[in-house]
Amino acid sequence: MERLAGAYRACLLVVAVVLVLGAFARVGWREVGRLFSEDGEGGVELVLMHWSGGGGQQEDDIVEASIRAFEERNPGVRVKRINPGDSGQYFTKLQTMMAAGEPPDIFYMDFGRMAPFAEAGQLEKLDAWFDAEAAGDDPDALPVDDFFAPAVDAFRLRDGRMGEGPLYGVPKDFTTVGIYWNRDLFDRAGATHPTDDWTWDDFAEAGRRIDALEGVTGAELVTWPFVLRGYLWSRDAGVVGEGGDFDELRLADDRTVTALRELRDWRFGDEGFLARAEAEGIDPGSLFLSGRIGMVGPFGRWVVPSYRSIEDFEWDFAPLPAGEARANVIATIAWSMSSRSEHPEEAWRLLKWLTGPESQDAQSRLGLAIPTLRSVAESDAFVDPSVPPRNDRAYLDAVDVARVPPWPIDPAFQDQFQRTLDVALRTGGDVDEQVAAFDAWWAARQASPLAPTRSFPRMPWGVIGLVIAAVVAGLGLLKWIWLARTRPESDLARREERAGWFMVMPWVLGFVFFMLGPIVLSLLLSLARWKGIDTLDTAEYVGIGNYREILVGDPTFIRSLQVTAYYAILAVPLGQVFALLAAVILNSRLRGVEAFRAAWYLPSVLAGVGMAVLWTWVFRSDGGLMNSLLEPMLEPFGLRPPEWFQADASWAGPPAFAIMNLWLVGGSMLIYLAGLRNIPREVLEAADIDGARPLSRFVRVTLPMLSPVILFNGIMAIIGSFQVFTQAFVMTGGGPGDDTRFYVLYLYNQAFDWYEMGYGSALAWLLLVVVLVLTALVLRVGGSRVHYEGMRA
Amino acid sequence: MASVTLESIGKIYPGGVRAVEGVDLHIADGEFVVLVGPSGCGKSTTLRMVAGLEDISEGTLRIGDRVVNEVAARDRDVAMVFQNYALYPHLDVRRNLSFGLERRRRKLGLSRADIAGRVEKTATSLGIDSLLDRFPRQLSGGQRQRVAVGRALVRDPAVFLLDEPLSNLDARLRVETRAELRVLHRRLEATMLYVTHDQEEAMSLGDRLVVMHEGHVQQVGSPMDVYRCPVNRFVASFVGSPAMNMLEGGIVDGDRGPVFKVSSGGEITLPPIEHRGPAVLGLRPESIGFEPEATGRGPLVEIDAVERYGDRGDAWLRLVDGGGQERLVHRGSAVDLPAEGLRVRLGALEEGIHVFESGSNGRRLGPEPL
Repeated sequence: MERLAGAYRACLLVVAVVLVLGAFARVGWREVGRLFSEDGEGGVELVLMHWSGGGGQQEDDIVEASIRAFEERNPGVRVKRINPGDSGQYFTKLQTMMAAGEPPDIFYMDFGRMAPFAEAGQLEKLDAWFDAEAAGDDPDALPVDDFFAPAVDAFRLRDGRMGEGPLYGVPKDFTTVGIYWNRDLFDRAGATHPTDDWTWDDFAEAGRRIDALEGVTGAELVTWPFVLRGYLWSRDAGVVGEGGDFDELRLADDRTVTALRELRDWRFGDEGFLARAEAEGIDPGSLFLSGRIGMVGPFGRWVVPSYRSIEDFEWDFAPLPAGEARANVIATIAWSMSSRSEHPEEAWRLLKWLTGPESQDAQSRLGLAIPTLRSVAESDAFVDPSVPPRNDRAYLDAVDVARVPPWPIDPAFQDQFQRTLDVALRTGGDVDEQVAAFDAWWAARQASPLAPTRSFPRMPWGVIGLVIAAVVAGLGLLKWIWLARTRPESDLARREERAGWFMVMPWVLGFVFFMLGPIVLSLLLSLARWKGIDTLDTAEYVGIGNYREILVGDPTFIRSLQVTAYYAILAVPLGQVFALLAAVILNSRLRGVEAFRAAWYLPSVLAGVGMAVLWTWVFRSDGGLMNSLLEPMLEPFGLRPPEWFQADASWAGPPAFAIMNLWLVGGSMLIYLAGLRNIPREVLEAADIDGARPLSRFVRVTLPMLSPVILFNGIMAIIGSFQVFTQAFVMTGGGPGDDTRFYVLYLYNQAFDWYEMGYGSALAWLLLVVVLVLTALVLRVGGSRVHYEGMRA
Repeated sequence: MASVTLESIGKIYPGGVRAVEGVDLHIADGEFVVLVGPSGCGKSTTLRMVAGLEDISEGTLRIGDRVVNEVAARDRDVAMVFQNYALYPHLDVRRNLSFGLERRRRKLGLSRADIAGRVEKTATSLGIDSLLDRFPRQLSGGQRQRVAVGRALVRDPAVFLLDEPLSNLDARLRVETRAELRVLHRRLEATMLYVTHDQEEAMSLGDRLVVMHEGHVQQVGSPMDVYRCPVNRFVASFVGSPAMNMLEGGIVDGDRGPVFKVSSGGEITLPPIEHRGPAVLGLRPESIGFEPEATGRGPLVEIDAVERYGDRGDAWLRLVDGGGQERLVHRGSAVDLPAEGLRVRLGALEEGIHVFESGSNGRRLGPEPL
């Protein structure tokens, strides 16, 4: 018997060892295999990463086909393709790969997000490669002059200014922007068709005429930052300071303010004819498909594939209207090469192939954008009068007046620019106020001790590593001493102890590597400035700089705390009362109550994003479910329901989220239900017999006996309400302005949109402090009112 | 105080399960009635219907002259002591006692001082006045039980309902408290309906017993009536401890009147009885007697085991004939018990003899009680 058990144990051990070693070997073999395939067979593996935005599966297929064609022509080079999905996921993935020190060799780069990556030294400078080719006699050479110059210039950057300097990417395609218009509606309204030299006055005139038609909106004009820059140029206004420098930037310029005011009044003025699609969370591009809007834009070429499915009306494209000047902007995406690539020669060949005539020809068939090679753009691969829009030439003609809007390297600029101006342009706030607010914000950011232009010493990772190692060693020693002193006497007890340690090891290791490690790292990072788009060794040590900046110099921090606290004050009591009432109702012995219970809990397990989209429709200020219900109730008092996420967002936004939160109380409800079930039935019956009415019984017996559960749920709800993120991220993005910028959303903005990982970490630790203080407060105040006697032993 | 009248009361649970059927019972004002029966017999359900904690499916319930079928528990003016006491764990003893009065303060026209006075008085009478500021978790089982009784007492209700209030106490305390309850009842002259599964408790407490089995009332009567003259085999074996011995057989005419012939052999002379033919003979353990093996005519038994508890004791007997599996028990004075291993013949004292119809729950056929 004894021997059998021993054999059994030995077998188990062998199996476990084989499994673990096998897993390691599998991973290790991949690395080893990579080494051998390079040296042994002369093979090279390149990693390529891209996203598929408007092009969807088609874009995925085209890139795949291009790569296979490249591999055929370049034996010995294999390309591994990664497509994480849309551009949002793409940049998170790219950021992570770069931070890990393993960036892809070749990847998509958006012109608007290039600067931080170039600045971090992640992007290869391509001029030398072009020059080397021009000097040689390579028949496949691709002169840089063959490309549309404005598109190429979009990927030049020097001293924080775009448009000149070294080249960081070769544009694969680009687009100018303009207005898509519904020919049928123009004819019905008797409006003059847009021409290639139409003006903003023509635009407004047509818009008003079409708006006068029954059930039709005049136009929708999006105000994305780069589009807005195009509009301002066409009004002979800009956002850059006199010297073309962002340092001395002032929006508060007469021409800029006048142009913005006019744009605002097209939507909110007495004769406003612009829709409010974007502010309502409706995709303005797809609005056009309904056939109930005269004009949409300014959009580039990317909407064309979906508009080609329109059968109910005729449509066409017109260039951006002219104001005081004729102007246009370029949106473009390039293939960039990693400066850390281990196979630059092969990577360059791939980049050249992907931007070469054959690949561009294939890609332009998609119709999403204009090929960047002049020869391809002029060919019938792009200009095809047989399919709409007829006016293909307008995209190309606009190139002569088009520029790439330069942005400062600081990614916060573009974000804040949109945020601030949207308050005026999307929700009807005051233009002058917002302009002043933006100027003040930028000036403060320039003057901040943490301004991007200032540099700090590197993080002393070596020293930190030594300290951590010393601490770990010290703790280990203490533990060992302690173990030695309390060492069990018997052999059996010692074996049991060893087995115990062995069995908790998976958890301990998981905790150390996946919980404790990140926690310590984030604490260290909160003392640093690190962009998160380069390896950790580039982090700079700023001491308590992040904390000081947050606490004394960051109005958005204060605002986000206010928004979150406002939300918490509403959402926590409301949600708890709601959850408790639901639990009481569902606790009754009704027929089919199980189905109701499931239904109540269901929203809590549904995907947050999908729910958020759903609620966007509910809270739409015009025709949304909520306001359709409220309107008849408020009308007798001469009141109007609020524009939840638009003009009234500063006071109605957080409550809207609190209302939404009621949908998610299933978890709390379940805990209350369990608590109610735990109250002995006899005690409630005793109260019945003692003469308590149902309400009195609930207040005097049920509630006190439930008080420990209420305290628990309350604290969890407070913590949860300070972590609201998904709904706001999806529904409002924090806007308008900062009216729904919840704390964690702001944290995310800092860390992942503005590449301020250190600042984000500091925000996270401050949140911990806030939550700890609140919890302690609640425990102190509420603890004495809690009757733990009610809990069954 | 008030009387309670149950007329054809029945309870049918959703799903058609019948817990109680056709209970007729009149509890006079000031009477102490005990519902007794094995678990699942419907006694607790009946009590809960009187309390208003269960809907009444059939029949009419009156408290005093008022039909209360549709009256909520809080308006029936009853008080209840629960098996696990059901004290409000979040309230101290004082507030546990005053809870019911506070709820009816306006209706009864009581001032807060009145309530405080009544609570003090009740607490003093039960000897728990020193515990008034404690919480239930700080009390022993016996103290909790007193508080539970106090909570009913302080209300001065029309009817007291007690649902196995002693079963969570240890044996010694149970016996003491039993007597106290009896004294309390005499002092209050209150109407009390008491549920228990312990026949000894039922016998010692009740003015009258209501023996229930499978949702039906089997017998109603004073404890001694029920003991002396059980109406059927169920009541006979349920009431009395140790349980009544049962012997299968038949009644024939003997030399000096009717004789019971035990199936496995032997006969026992009966008092006058009309029935002849198959029957079951019930013998109370204390009415079993013995005759020498040689001279007696009763069934031959062997003394298996003898247990003595001070002055009294039990002897466990086995019928020697007929497979020797049937067991009987004799209770008697400790000094008179036969020795273990002895073979004797069974006899019976006349007053402990009962004859039932054969069958699992046969009716009592006689003899007439003395």
